[in-house]
This record gives sequence, C-alpha cells and structure tokens, in this order.
Amino acid sequence: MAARKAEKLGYTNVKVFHAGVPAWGETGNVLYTDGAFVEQMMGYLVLLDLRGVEAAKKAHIQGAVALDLKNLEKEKVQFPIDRKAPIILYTDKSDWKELQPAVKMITSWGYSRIRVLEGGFEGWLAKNRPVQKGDVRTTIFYIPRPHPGEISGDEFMNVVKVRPADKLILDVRNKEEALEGVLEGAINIPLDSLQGRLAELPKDKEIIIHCETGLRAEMSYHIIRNAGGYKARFLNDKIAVKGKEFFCCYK
Amino acid sequence: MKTRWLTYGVGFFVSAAGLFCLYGGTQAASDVTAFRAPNCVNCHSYPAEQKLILGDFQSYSRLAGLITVKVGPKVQTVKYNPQTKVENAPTLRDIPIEAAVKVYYEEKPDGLHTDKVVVKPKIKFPENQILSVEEMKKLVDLGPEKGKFTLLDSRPAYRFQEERLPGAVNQPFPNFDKLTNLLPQDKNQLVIFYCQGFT
Repeated sequence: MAARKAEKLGYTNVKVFHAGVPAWGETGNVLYTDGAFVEQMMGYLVLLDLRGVEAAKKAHIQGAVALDLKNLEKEKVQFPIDRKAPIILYTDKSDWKELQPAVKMITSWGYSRIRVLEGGFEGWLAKNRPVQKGDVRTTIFYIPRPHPGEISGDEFMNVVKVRPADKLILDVRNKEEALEGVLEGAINIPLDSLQGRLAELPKDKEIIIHCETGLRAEMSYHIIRNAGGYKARFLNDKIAVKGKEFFCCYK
Repeated sequence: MKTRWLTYGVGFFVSAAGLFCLYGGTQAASDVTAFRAPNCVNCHSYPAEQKLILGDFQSYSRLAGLITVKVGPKVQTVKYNPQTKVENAPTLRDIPIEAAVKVYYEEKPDGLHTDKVVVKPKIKFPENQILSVEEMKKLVDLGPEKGKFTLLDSRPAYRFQEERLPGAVNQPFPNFDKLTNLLPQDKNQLVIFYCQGFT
C-alpha cells in the first residue's frame, strides 16, 4: 500500500483520504477531468459550455451545448433522465472554485458523474483538440455510449421484420419466459445453458441476441465471443414478447 | 424516446437442435492465468494451480444465475448457486460494478461455476492517519502550495484521466517505486494518498 511505502522511505507525515474519489464526488465536490477523456468520450457526454451562447459562437468544444452559468438553475428541466449521464462543465479556464456552486447544484439534482474540464477551453485549444465555430447547440442531447457488440434498436427491428438470411435471432430468456412468446424465426437457448449448447449456433450467420432488458443478452454476447469463431451482436434495450405481440426499443 | 410495436405470429422455435444437446466445451482450460487481469496480478500473486478469476465485477443476473467479471479485455461469465459464499458484501447483488473481485471457480462442461466470491476488502488504517471529506476539502481549498502538502492519486492512469481531485498528481500504485520523485523532498511534509475509496 502506497502510504506504508512512503513511511518506509522515511516520510513522517503520511495521511490517507480513505473514502477516495466516490465520497468526494457524492458530496458535490469538484472532480477534474482531462481533455483526453472528453475527446475519447465525445458524442456520448453532456458537454456544457458555461461561458454562454455568445462566447461559444466564437468557438466551442465540438459537440458542446452552450448554457449560461448564471441561469443554469432554469435549465434543470432539460437535463437527461439518466442520472448517470457523464456531465462535463467548462469555462475559459475552468477554475474549479468558480464552478463549485454549479457542481453542487447539479449533484443535488441527483447526477452522479459531474466533472470539470481541467484547464478549460483555453487548455483544450492549447492541445489542438477539436473545436467548432459558429452555431452552437443550446439544448441538451444525450445518448449513452453503446457497449461493444451492441446493435441499435432500429437495426434490431429491421432484423426482426426482414429476417435476413445471414442473421439468426437468439433469445436467451428462460424457458418460462419463452412460453409467453418467442419472436418469429428466433431460437431460444436460455443463458444458463448457453455455454454447453454453443455447438447449436451457426458460424456462418451473425447471431443477434436479445433477452428482456439487455443484461443477459450482453452476458451471452461475451460467452459467444469468448468461444471464438462466431459473429454476434446484442440488443441492449428492453423488449417484451407477449404472444403475437412484441414491444421493443426504448433507447 | 420512441416506442414501437408490431404484431407477430407466435413462433415456437424452441430450438429443435437442443434435443441433440451438443456440448460446446469451455475454453482456456490449460492456461489458468488467462482468468487473471493484468492490473490485479501487478500487486497480487497466487499459486498457478489455484483456480481463480481476478478482475472487475461487471454484472449479476438472478434469472440466469450468472455473474460476469471483466478480466483485461474479456468479460468472463460464471455460474453461481444458492450455496455460493460472498465475502465482504452481503450478497452478489450488492457488489458494486467495477469492484475488484476474486472468484474461485470450477470448470464444468456447461461453463465456469463458483462457490465463493471475495470482494476486495477495505484496507484497515489507523484512525489518526485518515482524512475525512471535510478535512480533505479544507486542504484542497488551500491548494498544495499554500497547504504545504502533496496529494497523490494511486489509481491507474485511465482513472486519473477520467476524474481526480483538484491539485492531485497521478502515481499509479504498481509504479510507486519508479515514481518516488513525485514525493516531496522534505520528508516531514504532509503526503496524502487516495484512490477509488477504501482500497
């Protein structure tokens, strides 16, 4: 452990902030994030340019939404439903003390992943990271980053409707759930028996996996992927199959 | 948000092939260490013959009786049973996502099974060396220079990049010995370490 190692080196005043990052963030304190992280997550973030619309029009981080820091409270209604959405705040320099009240307020709304871009817009520019000029978005738009192997709801619906010859739908719900209905053309192999029944799956077709919420479909995707030699994707969304009807795709 | 629905004929294709019940077998039986994440074996070593999965907890499905653990780039699925013991968490359901876990496993034709899952325990530390959130806040407010302290984040670089306390410097624990230059020259100066919480 680091603290013990430091003591062994002769340090006499070693302390540990034992509660660490989670406790720090939960209490509404500012966590910095790096431009590299923002760039990597681009498109799947709520990226807020709090310098206001006029400043943002001159130049802003690609994909940012311009809001006015002073009127942030009024924007609460347009924050995403998903409280785990990563929210990044920045101003010119992103001094954390300046943004502390905003972080506290957004935390109090129930959001758990709020971060301040260290170095702000100036730091972003200094690293030559992507910038946009002119029109800037003023309404928040958020889509979560797809998990590896995820199929979009639209494409899944199309597979169900068209049933392309090069695709097979695999339903990994339990037998009892499957009794209430199975999609036409789908095969049902409950997740708990999938590992032992992999040989039933074709290697020349792409396997499109679904369950009821996406959780078991994702687990199945990893089992199939780890086995090697198969092509597969999964639906990470809710779907209910009841008799002749099915309801799907909320994301 | 869009909701669509279609009407469909009931297709009862409950896998005719299932009757043959062919076994796919499991993978990587020979290489036990394949189930040990690099970031875990950096600091922990176990005998090669011990059947262990070391990695980050990912998900739990009650309906399927499975948990998943991320081991490096791979996600490993493991079956549990009502007798499966859980240490350092009340139940499997309570294990936080991304928590470091040690899963004892057995290999069976239908996959990996576990009787025991151990969540990485909280490190015990003398009370007088622990800073509360409030105490930490006071120091961060002052900043490392005025407050005369060095704040070190012991987590891996990717976590530090994602989020960190203002004024912190990254010193990933496995590289501690190589990064002692990040410690202050004055050995009586305050040095504070933190990580993902209680580990």
